[in-house]
Amino acid sequence: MSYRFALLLGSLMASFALPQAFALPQAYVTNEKDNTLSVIDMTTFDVVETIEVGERPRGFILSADQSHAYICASDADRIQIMDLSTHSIVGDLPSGADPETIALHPNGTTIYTANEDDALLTVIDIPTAQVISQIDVGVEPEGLAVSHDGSMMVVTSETTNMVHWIDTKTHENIANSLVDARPRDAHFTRDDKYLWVSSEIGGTVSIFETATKQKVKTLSFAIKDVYRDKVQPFGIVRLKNRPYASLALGPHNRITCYTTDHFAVEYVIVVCRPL
Amino acid sequence: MAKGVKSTVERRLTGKRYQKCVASLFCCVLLSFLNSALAFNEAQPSHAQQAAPQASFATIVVIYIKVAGTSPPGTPDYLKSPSNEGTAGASVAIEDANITGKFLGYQFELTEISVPSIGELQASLAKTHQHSRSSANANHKEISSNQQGNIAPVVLLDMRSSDKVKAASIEQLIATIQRTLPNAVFFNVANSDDLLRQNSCRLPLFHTIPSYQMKADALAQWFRTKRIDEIFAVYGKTADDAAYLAAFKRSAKKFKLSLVETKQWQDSFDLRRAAFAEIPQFTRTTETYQAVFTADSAAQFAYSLPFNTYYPVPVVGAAGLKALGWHFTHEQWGARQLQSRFNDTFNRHMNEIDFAAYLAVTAVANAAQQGSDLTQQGILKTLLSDHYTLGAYKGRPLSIRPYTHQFRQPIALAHEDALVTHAPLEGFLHQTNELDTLGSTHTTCKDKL
Repeated sequence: MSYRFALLLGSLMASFALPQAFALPQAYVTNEKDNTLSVIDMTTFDVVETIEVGERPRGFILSADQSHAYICASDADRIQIMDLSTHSIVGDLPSGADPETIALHPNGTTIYTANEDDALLTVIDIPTAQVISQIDVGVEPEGLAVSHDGSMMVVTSETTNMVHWIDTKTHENIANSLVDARPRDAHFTRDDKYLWVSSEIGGTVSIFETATKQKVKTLSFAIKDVYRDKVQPFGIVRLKNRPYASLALGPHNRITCYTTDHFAVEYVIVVCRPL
Repeated sequence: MAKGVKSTVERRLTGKRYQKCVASLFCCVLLSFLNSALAFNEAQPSHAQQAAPQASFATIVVIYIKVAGTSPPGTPDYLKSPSNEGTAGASVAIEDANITGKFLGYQFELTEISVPSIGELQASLAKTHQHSRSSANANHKEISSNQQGNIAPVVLLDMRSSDKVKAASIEQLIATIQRTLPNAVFFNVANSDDLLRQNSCRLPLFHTIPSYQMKADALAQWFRTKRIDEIFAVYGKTADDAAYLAAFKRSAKKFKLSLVETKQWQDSFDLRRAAFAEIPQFTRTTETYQAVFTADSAAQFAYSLPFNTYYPVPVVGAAGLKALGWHFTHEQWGARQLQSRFNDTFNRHMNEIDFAAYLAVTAVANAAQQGSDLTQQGILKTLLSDHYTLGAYKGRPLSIRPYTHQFRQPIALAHEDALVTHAPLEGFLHQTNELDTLGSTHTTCKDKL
């Protein structure tokens, strides 16, 4: 676990990304109370630019070719498109009300966004800038994940405590699985065999087999001298080219690394609350 | 089912999320939950549900009982409680629960009973009881013989302590309601009196509103953190005010604060005209103080103390810095979403009684979501289990104290314009759970459920 990685998780960010098109790696951080986007130079960790964007920017992703970024401007009820070479907003997409999080289908042309206040998932076609479908999901949808083969996507709902499985061809909600309280982040494993879902208040990570949509394992975390209600798993990040994933564990300043095959757990203490 | 779909569509089109459901006849409630008991058995949620089941929905009945006397003279209009206080919170919880229920096959329904005094409620319940029993016997013999498998009605109690309503009389009231609804689960959503929690361990009664002891401890932790030691306490004439003052005295002892003087409000001058002249006189003491604690549940005087006390010091309690189960300025941990759902529907802010009602419904909704047994015994078992937790937009899971049946929860320390912080404050430690630095965890209650 490098210092750089720990710092990334520890920052007060809603989202970040490292576009590979740039010679120098940069991170983008949406500032929801400032209506801006901070650009951080990842070699010096300095903020090198602050860009004004739409109201209450939250979710942020890069386009498939990493030339553009899509930003959820929650209070503007739009998704903004930013050209990464000029850092200017070049267009926007309809999103339904209050888009919070955002995910891109591997086809590069379909975007999913969670409409937190309306218990909806909105599917948007980028080339035509049209809403293709709105799907009823649970209360406060949050975590989005699209399988690598593009056939399936999931959305977690924080208050309904469910994972909603969506068929990406038909836009149908095909199944709903209960998880522990306040599910936040969701990730498919690289081979799409499993889905990992973190439950912040429940203090667990649920692992589902994608084919059967059955829960196959629940990870819980017993940390010495930390009361169980402070173990709040949230962000899941897969480490590039390594069989590890990392998980932020909330207010007692720890992240954990585990191998994705046999779930061995290792705790790492970081400097401030990893979100 | 139709109702769930309709409300979603309506919300999408108009942004209105609320459909108020007030049935006037208590017997309708009784019959509808009896009917629904059978439906629920067919609709038990399984692990991975197919979407939008068309099967019949189980109905969980929520009855909000409000005993609201007329507010005493002297309360400024702008400080009077909204008429839908509490029920509004329950409605939002029900709307949330029914979106989830749409996937799992259940729905919640809200009924409100509002009476001016306990006496009238007892009378009206007795009458309704007789009526519902005879109609149940006439039309639903097969169901009444199967009461054991019933879904428990969820009764939310909204009544403050007054000279007429004492903790003991609330217990009598519960006993009276139990004669009509023997398998109900009760939630106290409005009364912070610690006395009411003394005997809770043997009752199917939970407290989602924080106790005065929890609130007073939260204020005391703030005093300690700010190195404020000398407090002047002013309290009003209601039993509620006496209860808050007693709790504060206990906190002062626990956190080594000194109460330099305690004084009761006397209504001896007109605050509208003479506040600037009279309040400094009223708050003049022989010894100096560093802060003023106020207990004034009926909003009779505390509002006029900030910036007007003899020694210009902070006011806490009923005005200034308040210790609350919920404040509308709280936005962290997803709370902003709940606040905006509430604001959009009711065009006002969510207060702590709304939130306590929200919590009560959500606790049962969560049990339904997990596929738990929804009979009275089943709900009690779920809520009183050692590992019970509930997410509630407060940054950490809530749980329930086994002796007082009080929901453990962080307390908001807030003033009119902003949230200051949530107690427990940093540095106040407890051997098991820091939330237990707020309020008492044990009572002398015997015959625990």
